[in-house]
Amino acid sequence: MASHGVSFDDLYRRSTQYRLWSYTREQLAQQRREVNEKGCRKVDERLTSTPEVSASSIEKVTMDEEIALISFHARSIAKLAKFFNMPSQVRATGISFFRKFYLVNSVMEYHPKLILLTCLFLAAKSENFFISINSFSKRIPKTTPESILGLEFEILQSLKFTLMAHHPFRPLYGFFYDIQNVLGPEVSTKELGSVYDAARNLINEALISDAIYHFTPPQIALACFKTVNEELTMKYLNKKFTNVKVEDDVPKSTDYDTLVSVITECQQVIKDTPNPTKDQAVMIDKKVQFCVNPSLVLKRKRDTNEPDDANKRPRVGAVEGGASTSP
Amino acid sequence: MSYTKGESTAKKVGEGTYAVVFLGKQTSTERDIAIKEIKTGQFKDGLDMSALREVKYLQELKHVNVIELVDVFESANNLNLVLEFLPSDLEVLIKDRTLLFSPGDVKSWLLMTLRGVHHCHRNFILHRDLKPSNLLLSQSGELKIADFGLARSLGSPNEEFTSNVVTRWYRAPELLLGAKHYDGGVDIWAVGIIFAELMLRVPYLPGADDIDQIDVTFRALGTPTDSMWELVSTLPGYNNLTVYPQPTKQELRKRFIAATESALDLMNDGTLRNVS
Repeated sequence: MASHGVSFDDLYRRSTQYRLWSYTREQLAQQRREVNEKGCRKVDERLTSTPEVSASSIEKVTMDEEIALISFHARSIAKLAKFFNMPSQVRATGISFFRKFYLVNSVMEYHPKLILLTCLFLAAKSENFFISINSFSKRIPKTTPESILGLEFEILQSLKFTLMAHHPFRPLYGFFYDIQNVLGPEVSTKELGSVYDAARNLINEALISDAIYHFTPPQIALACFKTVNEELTMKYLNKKFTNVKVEDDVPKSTDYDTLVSVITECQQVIKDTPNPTKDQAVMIDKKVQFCVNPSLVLKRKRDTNEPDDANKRPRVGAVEGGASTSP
Repeated sequence: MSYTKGESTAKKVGEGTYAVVFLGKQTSTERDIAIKEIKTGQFKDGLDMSALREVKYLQELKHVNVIELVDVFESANNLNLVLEFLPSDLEVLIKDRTLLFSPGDVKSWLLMTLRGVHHCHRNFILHRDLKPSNLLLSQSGELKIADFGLARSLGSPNEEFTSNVVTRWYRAPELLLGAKHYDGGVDIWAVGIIFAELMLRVPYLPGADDIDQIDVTFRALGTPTDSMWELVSTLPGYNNLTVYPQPTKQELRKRFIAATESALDLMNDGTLRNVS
């Protein structure tokens, strides 16, 4: 199929994931700065319309706090998906939608707590794992079908109407076979199986990292393999690149160094995934609540004797650790 | 971008939701476009799945033989798909008895269809509803595949697919027999049946219902057995089937009087059993 000059690389470059959702580090940082500034302006607007709240009593969240909170809630999506027994494709797409949404909007504009639910619901539909809104909402406390569906359009628009998400799971599975093919008896099925399982777990971490914006799914898959078992992965790559006669689509050995340096870089990005503690997230979450609804400050002053009970979220682990967003 | 709306035609798009198609022009370019306005309020589970699929796949599939999604926008909580305007389709042409098809016409339509299908498949997307009315034609005669409301990605091998796809007359045997795992072969089968229809000018395998479709299909093309298609008899719908023999070349020649030998070979390839 590559005979007419259209390679899988070419096809990937035509995907919306590459065209609209891949960034250099500088672009990504710039994008996040702009979103944070947009969020701050939104808070200022709200303060203007609530003159009874003094501006000094509201603390805006920083860009780094936004990143931390988003990664915390991205992990919540993973837990929620598990709670609903959703396939990994749905879970990964839900996380992808959620994180893309916050490359366009600030947590000070939309509280992540609600957005994450709608992202997962939308991902389930987009990945053909239909669940009715009633059975979805029924099992998540303090939600209604309307509160979830009401945000679908907002999210679809922020996603620039692109729903296709290519995840590293399939390439990982492909490499699992190709490693056997290339290394043959040099690797036991049992050993490779456990490496594969560990790498697959690591992909869940990669989905929350910035690797998805800088690298292609196969690069991420290889980076996960290499993190889990460097020796095996290098042995595979070495043989793959020196063994030119295996298939004609094997890249030239000059590309070997580039590939190794790219996946090594990718490993580092995955390692750097922010993983804030629950306490940190709760703290940022509180700030966000006041940013989203400044008049809560007045309520807080009135109710100083009452403990904040919003963290009591029974049953669903995924939505615990944050406060309620209802005004 | 802005658009001016012209006449409208109501059209059902499936799963209980309705879309209204408006013809119009893109203001900046004067280009003719069709705006498919999908009423969102009527689907109780939010945005309609088939509309989501259409948006999802058309955003990825830019190809001369796939309908172009020019833009997507929201108005009054309705989803609007701006599509290139294509005035005709193969069904219209097939039914127009005043038109004579030359072998060149049929060949070029088939080639354009296969190019579009190939582009879907190399992006790991199955169309799952190929039929003459979904093969649209531009003013200049280019054929473009439309209606991705039933499309889906080829997923992981352990994922189950529904066999309740493709309009009945164009449904491949594995679907008729209830397979939960299938591939691009279901689209290729449909192309083979469309090819036959282009030569016959009437639907080739018009089953009256799902049961009849199995009979009509296997009577024309033979009942698959385990010896020619490994484990076919283990498919859920494979029971109490009448075993029809494979048609001989002579029988096919009689059915397709005007077809050349290579045309028959090609059609036969398209409707070959899924041997994978």
